[in-house]
Amino acid sequence: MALSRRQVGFLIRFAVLCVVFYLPIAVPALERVTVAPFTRALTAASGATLRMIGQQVTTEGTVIRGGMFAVDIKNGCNAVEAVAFLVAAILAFEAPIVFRIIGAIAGSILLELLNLIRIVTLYLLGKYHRDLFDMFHLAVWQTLMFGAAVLIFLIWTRNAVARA
Amino acid sequence: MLWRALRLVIGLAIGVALWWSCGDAWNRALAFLAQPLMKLDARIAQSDLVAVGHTVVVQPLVASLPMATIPADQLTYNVILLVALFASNRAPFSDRNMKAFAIAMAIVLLLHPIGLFVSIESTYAMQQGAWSDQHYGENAQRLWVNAEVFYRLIGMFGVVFAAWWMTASDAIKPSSTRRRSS
Repeated sequence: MALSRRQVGFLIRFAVLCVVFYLPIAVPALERVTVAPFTRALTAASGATLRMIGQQVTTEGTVIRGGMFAVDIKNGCNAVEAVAFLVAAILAFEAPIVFRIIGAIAGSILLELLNLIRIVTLYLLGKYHRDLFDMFHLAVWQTLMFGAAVLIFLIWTRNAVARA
Repeated sequence: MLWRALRLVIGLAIGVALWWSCGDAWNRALAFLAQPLMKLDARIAQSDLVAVGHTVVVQPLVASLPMATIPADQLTYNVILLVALFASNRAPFSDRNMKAFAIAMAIVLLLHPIGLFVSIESTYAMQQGAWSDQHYGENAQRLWVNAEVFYRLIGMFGVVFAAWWMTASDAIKPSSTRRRSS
């Protein structure tokens, strides 16, 4: 389990960047102009996706409503934290800066697409299988998001190193 | 990489089963392990931590302290990711991987009582109405709430990633790291 200085350096940079990328969530003034508009856009996109598959839903702010069921997308459900985690890991890794930027952008887009699937499936679970909603909302999907972030990071490191 | 993804999903299913079936027992251990930490803050020291199902209840020993219920299972489900990550490693049942998994699991489990303590502080700092305002200053309230939100959103998974990264075999590490460090 002996770590090289390079590995320790990676972990320290990763931890510092996690804290830095947490700031847009923590500082209300920053949150209002960054995370909040993004979450509203994500809600609109999720509502549009649900309507595409035949669900009668309306969206208002960060709420998706359909008949007797509604979901409110908050921090923790917008995947900003998983994106922050992935971007921190990619930027902390020693690779050419261009690869890091491309990896961070592409990985973030992939994670948000996966999050769109999460929101749609959680809405459907909440509407049709309420008994499963809490477990999937709390544990399964949140873990899947971070598992996906780690997988994307591993794929990126392999490609970045090969190209470098 | 596809096989790794498949192993990760299988590990995720095993992790969910483990977390779900052992949750109540671990909550009891968690309440016991976090109890000494309560002595660190005189405002909430006069209390007992009691596990009730998926929650930990802060039972006051003095009338002036309000009761609080903490959804402890929401602080411990990072073990699912840990199981999934180690399951995704090559040869997941090898002695080396199992030993690394045991060390990483010990690190993650030892951090759970700290996570619970932070969540208790955050609950007492912000969610106890007038009692919170009387006993916590504005900065202390902000500090505890941010500490809890950071732990819940990023920290609990960041710790798992770091523990996995530190303890798992070289096989999971990017080849540049292996080549350059050798």
